[in-house]
Amino acid sequence: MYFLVALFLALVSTCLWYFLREKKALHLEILAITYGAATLMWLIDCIASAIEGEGFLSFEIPLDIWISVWTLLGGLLFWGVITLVLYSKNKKQ
Amino acid sequence: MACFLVTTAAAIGVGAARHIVAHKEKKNNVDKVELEDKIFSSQKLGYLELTLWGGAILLAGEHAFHEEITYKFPWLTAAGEGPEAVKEMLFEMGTIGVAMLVILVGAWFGGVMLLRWLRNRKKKVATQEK
Repeated sequence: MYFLVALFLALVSTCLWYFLREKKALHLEILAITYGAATLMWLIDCIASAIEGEGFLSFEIPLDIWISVWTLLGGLLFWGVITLVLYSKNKKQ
Repeated sequence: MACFLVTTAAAIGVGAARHIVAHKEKKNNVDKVELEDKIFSSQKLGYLELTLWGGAILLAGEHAFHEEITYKFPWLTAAGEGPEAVKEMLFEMGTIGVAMLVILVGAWFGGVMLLRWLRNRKKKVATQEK
């Protein structure tokens, strides 16, 4: 389930990055890259599960919901931290 | 089990390489336009590092939820379950972990090549219009 959530977040963040590409200070590419990378990694995980006969997607409720929430918040936190670091770096220069 | 450790290790390696490349670029005073055509410029390596760290951090969280990593030493649940579990973990790292690394590096390389192609096409159109 969290693979689908990551895929959705990757698509949304990529659209945001494209439409707000003039606002470079937001560094939305970081958000798109983070969710995109997690999606690709979980895609490999899903393929491996399918090969092992466990099924391509898993829906373990409520665990998958918590992982989906972590995916959203973890990505936002990572983006926030990197953006703040880049902002302070640019300010110094 | 611990497949994200492969991308984490790669991210640390790429980070070190980026620092070396950035230092060389600064030392040689490389032109910005010249850097645009370089695949292994510090900026492009920075994007690869970001890709690897981003994916690894989100997957580390997922592994924590599945109790595959813990706050207790040796932090990896499989490492405390005996040699058979360690063997299985290493096998998973060598197969799924490496596949994850390959797909991320491939996506980054594809993105870099796409940007290069778009820039060259833009230049070509601009010179034809002149």
